[in-house]
Amino acid sequence: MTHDTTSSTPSVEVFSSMPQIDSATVVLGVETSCDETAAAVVMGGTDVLSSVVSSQLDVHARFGGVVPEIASRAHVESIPHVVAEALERANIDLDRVDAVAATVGPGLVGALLVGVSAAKATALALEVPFIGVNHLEAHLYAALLDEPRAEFPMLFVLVSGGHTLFVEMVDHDSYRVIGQTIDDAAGEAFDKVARFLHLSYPGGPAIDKAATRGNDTAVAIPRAMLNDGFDVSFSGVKTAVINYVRANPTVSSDDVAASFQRAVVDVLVHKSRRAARHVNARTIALGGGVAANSLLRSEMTKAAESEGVSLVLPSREMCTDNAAMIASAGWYRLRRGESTALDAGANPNLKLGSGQR
Amino acid sequence: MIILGIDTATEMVSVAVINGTSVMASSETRSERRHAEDLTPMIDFVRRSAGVSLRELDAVAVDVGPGLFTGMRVGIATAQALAFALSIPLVGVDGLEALVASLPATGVEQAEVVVPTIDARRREVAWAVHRAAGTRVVAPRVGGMDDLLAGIRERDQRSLLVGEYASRHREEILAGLGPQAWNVTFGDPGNDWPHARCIATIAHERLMRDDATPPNVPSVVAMYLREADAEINWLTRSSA
Ligand SMILES: [Zn+2]
Repeated sequence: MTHDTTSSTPSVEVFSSMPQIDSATVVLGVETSCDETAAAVVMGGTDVLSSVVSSQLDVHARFGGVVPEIASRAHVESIPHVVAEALERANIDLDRVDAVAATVGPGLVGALLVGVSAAKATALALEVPFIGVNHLEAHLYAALLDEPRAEFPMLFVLVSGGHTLFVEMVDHDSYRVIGQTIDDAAGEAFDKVARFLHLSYPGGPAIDKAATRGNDTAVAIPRAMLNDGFDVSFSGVKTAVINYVRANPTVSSDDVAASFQRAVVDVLVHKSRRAARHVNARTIALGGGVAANSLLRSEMTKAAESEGVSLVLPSREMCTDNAAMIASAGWYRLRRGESTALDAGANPNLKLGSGQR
Repeated sequence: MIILGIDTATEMVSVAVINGTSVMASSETRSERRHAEDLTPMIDFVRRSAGVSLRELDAVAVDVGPGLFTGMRVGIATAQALAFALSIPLVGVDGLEALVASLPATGVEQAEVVVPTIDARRREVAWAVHRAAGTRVVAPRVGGMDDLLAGIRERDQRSLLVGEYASRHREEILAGLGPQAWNVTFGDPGNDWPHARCIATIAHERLMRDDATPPNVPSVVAMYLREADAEINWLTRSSA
């Protein structure tokens, strides 16, 4: 029988019976929003059975940043092997997978589409739900992996190369962004200063390391505290560093790194304290690549203590992009009875809390 | 042998399920920038129309390009994941070859060679040359209109040009060939796009021919025919 049809909107299967979601529910997570191809198997939302991250750092290092087309090419080559490896390390068969979650945004659209396509196809073949996950939300679940019982209301501080957000969380599905950067993201400032100081790529870990050898009061750097509200600015900090080094070319770059890092951490900690008080937070949660910074971790720990709130810090490997946090965020969505139709695409500009209540 | 064919390498998205040499069901839609949105539901729709479950599939076939980079990656990522989840072989098929395979036997016999074309964007065309009998004589390449015209002129054979690029640039091609234009005919616009049913059919022939054991992790290589821009710039800079 030949059945030729031209259809523009094929119907989408709706899962009539959602599986029982509990501590034995296994979610396969996929993450391809930027330059890491990642897959993970997480059971019950917090039990990470495997987390595989294939980094493209080497591929992009010579360009000094992520090149979208090159990232997309690397994703489509790596993804089958990364998924197979995650299942193998978790020591489970595909038919034990109860749902497949993938990052749908924000990120590089061409890169996102590789993961979304692979995840939707896997869900279709296994006849299990697909869950589109917001990458920013997932960073929070990286922190909650080790502390699933952390209490709300919560202040979630997301600091990465692309984002600097202060988020009020009343509950799992209830977010409000109360502050953000008005210019550079924290991680972006780290990268730019590192590049200016000729430190290695990526900039965050390089500055962290150089700073341990430097004097953090050597260079006076103004803190843009923007006293109204909870927004922050890092471009002034970055410019101050650049101007100082140009005027004092013999300055030790360790001292510059230490002073710069101290300034950024001061701003982040100061704003976090104010924001935590404002939302009556019982918990402060940190997420994103900059959350791996040693000084930020220690200063946040002190600040939380003096504010009388608990602090949840993701392990260092869960700060950077990974798929365990995607699978975890997917499990929480699934538990709320949510899944995503198979006609979903990617949303490169997805915001936190937008249409996600 | 039941094969699922997928084509998302051009503006068209098509999906087909074939059984041996007969098409069980197929569907196509014009999808300028919604390949990922359209593809998964279409696969489900077509396999339902064919009355088969995905677990009954014996293989998956996908157009690996040339064409739209993001489109071909959507198809490849999907096909790789399906083949892996279903533990079945995956076959990657060149879209230009699929264009040649889509031609009806009549019309081809008047030509000595077939020149399939696919729009490569940026005013460039991906093309190849096949003998009318089928074997390929010029491997897929990408270049400007001049490159294509030079290729046709140089062969000086009765050429059948097919594909959406050739259809759309028909007048320019004829004008560019000048006195040699009489040597060229154009395919039916019905054969403008590589179609999933041709992708699946070519895969079927290939699977019947050689029975290699499929790898545990099925994967295929995209045919970009062009380095990424940053790569091009970097190579130019470092050689300068
Ligand atoms: Zn991230």
